[in-house]
Amino acid sequence: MALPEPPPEPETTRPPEPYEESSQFRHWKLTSEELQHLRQKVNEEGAERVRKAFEEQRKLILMVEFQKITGDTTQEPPECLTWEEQLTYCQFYEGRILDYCKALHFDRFVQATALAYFKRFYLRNTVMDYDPKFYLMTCVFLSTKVENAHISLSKFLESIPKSPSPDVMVELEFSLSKGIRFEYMVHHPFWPLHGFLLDVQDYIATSHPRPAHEHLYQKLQKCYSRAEQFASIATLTDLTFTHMPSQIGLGCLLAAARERDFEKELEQYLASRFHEKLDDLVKLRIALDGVAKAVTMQTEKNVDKATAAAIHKKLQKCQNPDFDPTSALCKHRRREEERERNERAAEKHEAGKAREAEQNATFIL
Amino acid sequence: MPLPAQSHPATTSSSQWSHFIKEKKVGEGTYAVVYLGWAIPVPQKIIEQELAGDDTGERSALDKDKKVGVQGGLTWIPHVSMYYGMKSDQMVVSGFEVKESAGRRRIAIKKIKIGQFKDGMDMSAIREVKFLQELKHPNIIELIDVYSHKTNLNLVLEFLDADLEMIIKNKNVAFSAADVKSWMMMTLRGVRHCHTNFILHRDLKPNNLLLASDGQLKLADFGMARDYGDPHRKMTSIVVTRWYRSPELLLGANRYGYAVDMWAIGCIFAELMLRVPFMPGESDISQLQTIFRALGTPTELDWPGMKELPDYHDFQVFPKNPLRHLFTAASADALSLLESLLLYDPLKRPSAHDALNHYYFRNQPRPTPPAKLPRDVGNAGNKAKEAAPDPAIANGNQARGVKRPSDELEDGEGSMPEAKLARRLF
Repeated sequence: MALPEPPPEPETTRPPEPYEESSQFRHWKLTSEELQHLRQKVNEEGAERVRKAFEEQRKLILMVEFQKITGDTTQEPPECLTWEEQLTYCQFYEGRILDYCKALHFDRFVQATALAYFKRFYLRNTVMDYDPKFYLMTCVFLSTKVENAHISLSKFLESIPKSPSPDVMVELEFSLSKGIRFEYMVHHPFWPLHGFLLDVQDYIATSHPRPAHEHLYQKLQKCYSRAEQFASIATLTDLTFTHMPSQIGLGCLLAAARERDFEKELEQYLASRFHEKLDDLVKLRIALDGVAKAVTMQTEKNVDKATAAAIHKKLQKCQNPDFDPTSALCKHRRREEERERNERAAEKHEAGKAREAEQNATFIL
Repeated sequence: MPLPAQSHPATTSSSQWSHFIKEKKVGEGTYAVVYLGWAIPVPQKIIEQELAGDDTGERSALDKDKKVGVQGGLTWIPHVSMYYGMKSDQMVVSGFEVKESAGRRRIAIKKIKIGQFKDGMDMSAIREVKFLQELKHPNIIELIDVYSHKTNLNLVLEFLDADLEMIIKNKNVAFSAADVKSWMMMTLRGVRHCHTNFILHRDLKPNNLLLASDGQLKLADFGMARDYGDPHRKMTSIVVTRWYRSPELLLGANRYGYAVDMWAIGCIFAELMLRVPFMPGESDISQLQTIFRALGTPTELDWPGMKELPDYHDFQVFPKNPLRHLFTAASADALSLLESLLLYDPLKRPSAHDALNHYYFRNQPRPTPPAKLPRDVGNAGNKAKEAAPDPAIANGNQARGVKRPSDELEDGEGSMPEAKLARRLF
């Protein structure tokens, strides 16, 4: 086992950038390798929990069914979902979040935040434990609160078919909040993208002859509209974890520039704005190319219903019984809890009596 | 329906602190209870063991947190960690099982009840958590940790035992000009940090400026705060406690910026010099009158665009009085800063950054070092003041014979009627 390394010395005394102080940077920024490790780890742990729970449930049923001696009491441990399957399944539901937001006329901030919550939650939890069907609407509901577009819960549920009861929603909201570590603030690429639009305009104004401006501005505007679409697409990808919002914003602009014949101008802009440190410019280029590639490859819904249905079928067999209130295991646990509570209460009662008796004794003395 | 049937550690909401002890209840409101308590640190050894061989980016996350500071003489400890292996539900120890140990820290715990409101988590609770998770600054109250226990959300906050309102009211305490300058500087630094992060506080008042035992002033109560800067999104004008509410808000503006906080700071500055609230309107309607009486009714020249605001109508015309007639003891540089903060046109009010660069802060006297600032002595100091101060607990409202307006803050952007009552605790 590797020895823990000493905390690294701060390299420079420069004050941290505001973004580096955000919870998004501190807790939700991972490399793609880390992302994969984490997903595998969470999946393995989740599968282990499922197997244990099934094993426990099997024993329970055996105990109950002991006298009946029916033939089929052995439940084979189920085949669990792989991390890839979980990821695909989640991506399908991310598409559903888009549908909800469109149907309920929420803006792109509500949508992007809901997506981020969903991604963050299932980064550290498995669909075998928590059913995404319910969590996706909880993500949207919580997002409306955080993004200043709150509507009342009853109104929200009215507009959703087959919605859970309000009580359940309240519970889910809390559970979701725990899953995202109560870190509600999410930074999106939209603002940085707009900032770059303004900056490129500024660059054009100062570096090109006046007669060329009008033409360039028009091209830039077209490019920007396309980049906005890319920015929305970016919120569907892992870029949320791997890149900073400003990198995503600029990367989207680059991707749009390639499509809209603006690449030459944008390259000039990058060179003139970031030429001071060549190393940094190279690093930036790599990051931007990564973003551009990811957003051009991503489509709005890349998981079809059939694939999701197949996973769903498999999932039904490996849902963690610990999380299903109707399962034998869960009922057993509740009974146990009840019994313990009663025992504790009885003990307390006894202790109280004893103390009272003691006090009475002292009083008599 | 497959739903979480038990309180499961869905989160790894843990930290450098192994547990938090609730010592005694010090306040209760509609949706929250405040406790005084202790935070007990996790030994460094355990954290390192947990993280050895970690390949999920956990360690780098902790390193990123590190900068936020070392507590109480321990060696390196992360600030808000997320290491595994500790169930958040096990973190709470009620009672006094834990013996006094090195490195433990005084805290206030704000327990927010969930599940009793039909709309789920309260908006102001969400706002407070949302912003305090992001803001780390010496002049902003520290959110040490967040944990869930059963169906309650618990905010672990820095313990602060006084607020500026208590000191202003306490007639046993004398202020010097240097003291006022020091408090103003700390307030502006905290507000500048909020504004740099595009966050408006929207409820600045002496009661929400808490004082640590080392004299540092800290902004608290982010239940009304929100992010700003997007001109396409409307905001409610019913924010900020009445006496500190800016004229554009009183006229119903639904697009505004940092200037609303700057106006409130102006009012606080005036109150620090006068030792009574500067413009105590008796109702929302008369608040504008009160302002106009004090500063003169604005003309189109003072405030272009005023007439386009939703609630504008013709007002009684009051003459302008120079501020130096009211603030006879104030220096010229102080008056200049005060005047700029209380300008009618929001666009002309300085930003927190500008205000800090005002020559008032460079001129003599130098601001008092925080540790040497006057403390709340005598009558008001006995009652411990929590991170979420309740004036009703901390101090009598009758001190000046003026009734402070209760927070009638109702956020049209989506709060619930319960919030109105609940706010009193914070």
